[in-house]
Amino acid sequence: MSEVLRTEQLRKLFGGLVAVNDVEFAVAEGEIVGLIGPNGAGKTTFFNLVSGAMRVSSGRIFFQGREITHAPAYQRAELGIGRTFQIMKPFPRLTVMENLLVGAYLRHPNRHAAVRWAAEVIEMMGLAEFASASARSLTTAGRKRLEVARALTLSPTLLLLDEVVAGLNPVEAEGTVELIRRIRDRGATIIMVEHVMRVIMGLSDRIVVLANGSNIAEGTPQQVATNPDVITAYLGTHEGRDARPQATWSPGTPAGENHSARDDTGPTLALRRVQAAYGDVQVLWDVSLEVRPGELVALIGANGAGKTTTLRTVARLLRVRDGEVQFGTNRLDQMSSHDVVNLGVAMVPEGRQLFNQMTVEENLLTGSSLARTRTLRRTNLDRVYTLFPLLRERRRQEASTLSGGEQQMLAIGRGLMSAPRLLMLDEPSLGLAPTIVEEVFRVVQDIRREGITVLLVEQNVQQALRIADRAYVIESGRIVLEGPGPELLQSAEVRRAYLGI
Amino acid sequence: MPQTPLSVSHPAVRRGVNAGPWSLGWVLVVLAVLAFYPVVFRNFLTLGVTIVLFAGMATAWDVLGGWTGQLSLGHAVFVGIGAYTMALLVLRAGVAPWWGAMAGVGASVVVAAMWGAVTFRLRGPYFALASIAVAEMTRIVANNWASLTGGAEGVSLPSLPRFLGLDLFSRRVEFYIALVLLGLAVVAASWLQRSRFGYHLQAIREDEDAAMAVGINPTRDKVLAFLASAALTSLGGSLYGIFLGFFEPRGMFSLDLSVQLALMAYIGGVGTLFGPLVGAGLLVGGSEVLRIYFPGKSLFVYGLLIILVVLFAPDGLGTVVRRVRRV
Repeated sequence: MSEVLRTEQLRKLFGGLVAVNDVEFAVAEGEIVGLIGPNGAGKTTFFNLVSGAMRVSSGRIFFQGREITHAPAYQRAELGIGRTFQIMKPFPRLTVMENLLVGAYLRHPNRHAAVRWAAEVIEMMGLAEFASASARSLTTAGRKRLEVARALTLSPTLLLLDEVVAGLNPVEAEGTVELIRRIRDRGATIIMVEHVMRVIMGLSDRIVVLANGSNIAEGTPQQVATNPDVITAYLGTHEGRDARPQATWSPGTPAGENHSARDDTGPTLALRRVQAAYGDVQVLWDVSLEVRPGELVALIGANGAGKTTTLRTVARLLRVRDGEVQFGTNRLDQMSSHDVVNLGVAMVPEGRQLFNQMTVEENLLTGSSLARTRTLRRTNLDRVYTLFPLLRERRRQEASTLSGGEQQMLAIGRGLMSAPRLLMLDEPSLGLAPTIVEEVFRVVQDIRREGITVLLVEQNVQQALRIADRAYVIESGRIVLEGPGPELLQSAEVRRAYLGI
Repeated sequence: MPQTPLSVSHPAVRRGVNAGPWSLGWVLVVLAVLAFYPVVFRNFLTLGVTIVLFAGMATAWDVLGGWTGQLSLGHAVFVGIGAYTMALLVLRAGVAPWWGAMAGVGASVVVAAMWGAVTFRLRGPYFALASIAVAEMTRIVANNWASLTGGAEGVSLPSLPRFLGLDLFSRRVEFYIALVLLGLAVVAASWLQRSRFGYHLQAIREDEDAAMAVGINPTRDKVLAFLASAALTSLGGSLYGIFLGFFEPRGMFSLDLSVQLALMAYIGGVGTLFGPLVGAGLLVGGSEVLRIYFPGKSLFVYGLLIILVVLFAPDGLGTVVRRVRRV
């Protein structure tokens, strides 16, 4: 088998961040290679380097033995590299058929031949009935299909598929999987990035695992799924097991005992058979979960499983399509988002979402802008400063000048400024160095010790499960597992949810 | 991939691509109807020439602005180059205006090639911003290089040789020349609607990254579209110079003129065959009517109308017709 693609020491820097770190990678003709790795591992960046959408910082790329490191994207397309975009990029005002015709013209300059080829691809992709519809009128599933179809019009030798299954319902996903097999059988070589592990494990001949930009493992799906490095990359590190601070609370303590001294009459958050969707893509299916007063509950699951969406339905940032979200006696799903905050539900969003041009203190004050908390501003501010002495030191500094860890503390502090009874944290350790991650988890424990109920979404599964009273595992928008945190830590089911085996 | 026998069954597949002959038929029908204008509106020939001439230049603008999605606010440069090259060759060298117009096309193409090669490497609003700068610089140079252009005093065309026996200062002759120019521009647009090159431009307009991913070289194709647009606009500029008989840099290279061309295309609908024509008719005809019925307040009402169009027909008035027809 001849080699279709090879990269040598491929590297991409964004400022100081190494997004792709000396990746050596080769694909043989006719292979389906799965490219996996946690969020921010560099998968899409790798695609952008291979397709020419981004320039490499250093290293070389060879396509069929020929160096293409500095060839512009359109030349690589001409040579036979087709790609899809994770953030779909149809030509919105052209019809579906015209979208394909644009690509078909590359191999068939004659109009008649181009139309014929585009028509053939449209039939094969099952898009014929939408041929005369504008691309922007398609559903998400339709657009994903169009992405693949447009890449196919190039008759690519190498096809790069970026998340073409994620977000599809099971029937659509099955159809796409079948299609990918057929494309391979017609002679194309495929590299795919996919978050739906079942799909990638089932389709790939070989899997390459990226983490923090580096190629950390490679092998058959079975080999990769049992590789300890891979499991660590996905589920987080064991670091800090013995470095846990204050002995006042131990993770093994049963939840009930642990908060016996607290106000157990506080409101309980309960989701009952919640359905939620973005446009026509349903993300949550019958999600039911409960967070009792004083508890620390973790919600874990793979990328795109619906964790953030669950928090968003509670905060009323997303409409609940069906089902109930109850907090004490109040139905959150029937309120507006600021009323939810007023009831004492605060959310610390993923990626922190600070007001970068404002000072630390101003950021904190925005957290208490509602009537209920405005009068308590001073008290709350003191509480936050006591919890995070560093923020007091830096209170006149612009938020953008803080380090990543400090920004996370500020985001949490802002959440606390609304004096919440329930605090929802979305990926507080995301993008932070290991020692800072330790500190964030300490803070989360401090907060729950103050009597605040915590619902935690985390990608660092090991750490989250170790401090959680209970945890829920969500997979493809469904709760698949529930149990005490430390117990789930040992569970093979959790590994299955993440790695699809 | 091996080719399998074609099994196109779905009627939508055929409807999904623009059927060519039809739109070309419409172009001929519209041009034929317009050809009767001088017969019917004998007393409004000047208005007719202005509408058709601006429709032609707006359609030329649209090749770049509407079909390729590159907003130019400096197209007056080509109007000016067309007019000045023609006039100066007539006055200084005794060259016939039609050859002068051809020379103007050449000059405009050279300017567009240099300007495009530099600015199309940038994405986003840079081309639009740069276009204003280039046009303003050209105006200032034309204004101050008096030995070449006659400076702020302008140039006037005292007499012109007959073109195929026709008097070029006759409004009727100017009307038909403008109509030929409009025809040229609209036929070019109808070709863009369905040709390989046209699809390249539309793909660039819709999403440049995706266009590159299917093998399109955006910089090259944008420059080519710019050249075509500049050449057609320049022809219009030469005719505009003759139509005016006297002009100065302040008018010929003005931002106002550039904006007007863009506005006509937008009001009528960018990236459509007849949008710029509809826009030119509305803005030129409309401002005449307003001047008569709202003396002194015509600009106010004009502005109001533009706001209404943007609010209620953001895709242009041309698309309203299509929407109504569909209902």
